[in-house]
Amino acid sequence: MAGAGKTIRVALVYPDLLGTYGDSGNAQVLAVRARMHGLRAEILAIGSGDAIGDDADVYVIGGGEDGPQQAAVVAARRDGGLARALQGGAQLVAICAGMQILGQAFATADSPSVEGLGLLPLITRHSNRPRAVGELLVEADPSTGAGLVTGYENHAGQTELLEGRPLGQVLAGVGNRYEESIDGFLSGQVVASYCHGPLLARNPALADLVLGRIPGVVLAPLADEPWVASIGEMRSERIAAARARHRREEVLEAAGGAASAARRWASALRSSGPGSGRRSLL
Amino acid sequence: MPIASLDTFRARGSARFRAGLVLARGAGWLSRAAGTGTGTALAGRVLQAVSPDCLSEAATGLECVLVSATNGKTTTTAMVAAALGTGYQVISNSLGNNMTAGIAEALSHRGGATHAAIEVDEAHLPSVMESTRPVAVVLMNLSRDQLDRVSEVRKVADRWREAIAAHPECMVVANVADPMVAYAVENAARLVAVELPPGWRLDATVCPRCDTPLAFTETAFACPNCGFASPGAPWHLDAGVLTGPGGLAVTLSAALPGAFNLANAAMAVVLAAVLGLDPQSAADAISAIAEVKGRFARTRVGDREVTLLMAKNPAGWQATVAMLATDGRPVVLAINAEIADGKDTSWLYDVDFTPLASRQVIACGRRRHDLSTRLGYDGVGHLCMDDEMEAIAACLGAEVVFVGNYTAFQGMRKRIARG
Repeated sequence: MAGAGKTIRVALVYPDLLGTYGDSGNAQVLAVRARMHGLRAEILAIGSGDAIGDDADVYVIGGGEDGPQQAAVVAARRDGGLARALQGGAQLVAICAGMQILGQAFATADSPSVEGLGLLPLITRHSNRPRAVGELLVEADPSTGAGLVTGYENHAGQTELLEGRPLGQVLAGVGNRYEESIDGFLSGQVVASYCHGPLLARNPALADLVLGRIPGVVLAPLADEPWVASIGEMRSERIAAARARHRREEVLEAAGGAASAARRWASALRSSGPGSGRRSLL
Repeated sequence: MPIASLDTFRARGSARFRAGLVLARGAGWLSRAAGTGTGTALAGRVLQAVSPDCLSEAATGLECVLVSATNGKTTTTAMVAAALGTGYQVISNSLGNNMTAGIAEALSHRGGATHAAIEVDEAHLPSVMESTRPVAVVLMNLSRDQLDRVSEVRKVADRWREAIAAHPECMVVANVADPMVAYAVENAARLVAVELPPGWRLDATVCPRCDTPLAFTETAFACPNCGFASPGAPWHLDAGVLTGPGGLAVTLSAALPGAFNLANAAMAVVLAAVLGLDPQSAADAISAIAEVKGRFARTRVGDREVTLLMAKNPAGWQATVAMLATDGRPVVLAINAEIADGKDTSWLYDVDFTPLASRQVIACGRRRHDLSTRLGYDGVGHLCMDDEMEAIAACLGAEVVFVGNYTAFQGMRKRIARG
């Protein structure tokens, strides 16, 4: 099955349910880059009424809203194909809600804990902090060779890794959760992240990493196409935008710190102040 | 340029409302004089600040028709205004802003109008219904738009549902082929159901009631779990012919391009019919509309004739690309990602651009590299240029189509106006 004769099969899991944030683009990027590397590739779009099947090389699963996310976990559990495919050594790219449902449990607006598929060692909970929205910048695990990973995060859930390692360290944005600066999950078979964009469109090195992990695949040098220069331009712009977000949030945090210090000072002054006239001024 | 017409001082309403109007007109005049725009947005904000109840006061005595949807609300409002205009004096918020303050400001210029055609932002429909007590609402579609700052589609549908339940006297003209709209109007006391040809469905793949995946046929949907399904409708649009109760059939024609504009026209004609106007006259009035706030306008840029189109979200882009599929003109596409557009461009991958593959395409806008990457992965050969005017000049042929998302489109209109 190896070599140039092989057709890489990319399974796009439930684009009807988990297709809200453009993540279906990850499947297209894998297929197109496979062709640019001299390989054959096909995309199998698997709707929520279809059997997932366990014979694809890569499974791609994306983000979605609460209701569809719950429907997806129900359908995928009943189907069982994803679990079999992972046991069989397939590659998996999971984004946002797609990553959450693969964990042990996740949260929705209506329910603090919905049972996940239990295929990844992570758990996602509710938080009272604001929704994490904005450019996300991650320094990928060195083993990936992907360098800086850029994406756009938009999630309320807070994900804790129970074991294993993240995709990388967060340089700007929130990533998995507010308490630690890491994003996603990485193993020899799995690339998972909160990065929309889509992830593989913004970070072609990760697409090539996933393709290169498929047994028997050898990537030929990339065919030169003029539009490819736009990827680099886009990456520089988005990396700069993420760094700007980081600086803005640092300033806001400092201002927030100064404001709370001022409030403490003011209340101390009030409690020790002489009269009510002084109080009303403050 | 008068600061305020005599009207301002003769306006009905409370002293606070009239004071608000005087100040708002002054502010609007100052804003225009300073060259910062039409002044309506500022005037609206001043009016609302002085008179928080301004919208109910401005709407008093008017028969209001509200139009809301994710896509097509501006055009359909213009069509409703034209349709109502066959029988009544009509005022519309055609200049501006589709939230409370802007609507109040627009209605305060009512003159002798008896009816109002009002475009309403989807999220503001409940509060605007509360203030204006409309005789009818016209609801077309709900799909994703600016996910980084607007809540989920389902939540908007839930809020519509509550608002409709709270106003049983209001006639609800709704496209029930859209599952989200069908859900929102499910309990409407006075429903006028219309079935338009199916559009974007990717935001309504699960049952809005119970989250089970919906089963779709060509024209209908049904939930296998709870029984939520296409309710059926007395009004249908099929191949440009609107059919209604009693064997009524009206052939729609629109000067505006695209299948979606026939659908918008159908909604306006149904509205006119249920308000007692002659549907054929309404359809004729609508067919004369050639542009709406610069959308669909044909204009000269240098020695090119440029058709200007706006598309703001995946559903709008997909409909626009489908419309352009049979058209050989070069296209200039411009994408920005300002706050008004949504900062996340991931949605570009929800649009299939491949119908544009065999023609000249130029990617522009502040996020042209995102667009260029997306077009590249779709196999659409293109150039990437930073200046829209130069891009139009670089097109081969005398006619060009320009498609921009919200701020890219507005920016282009301004540049063309400057000459």
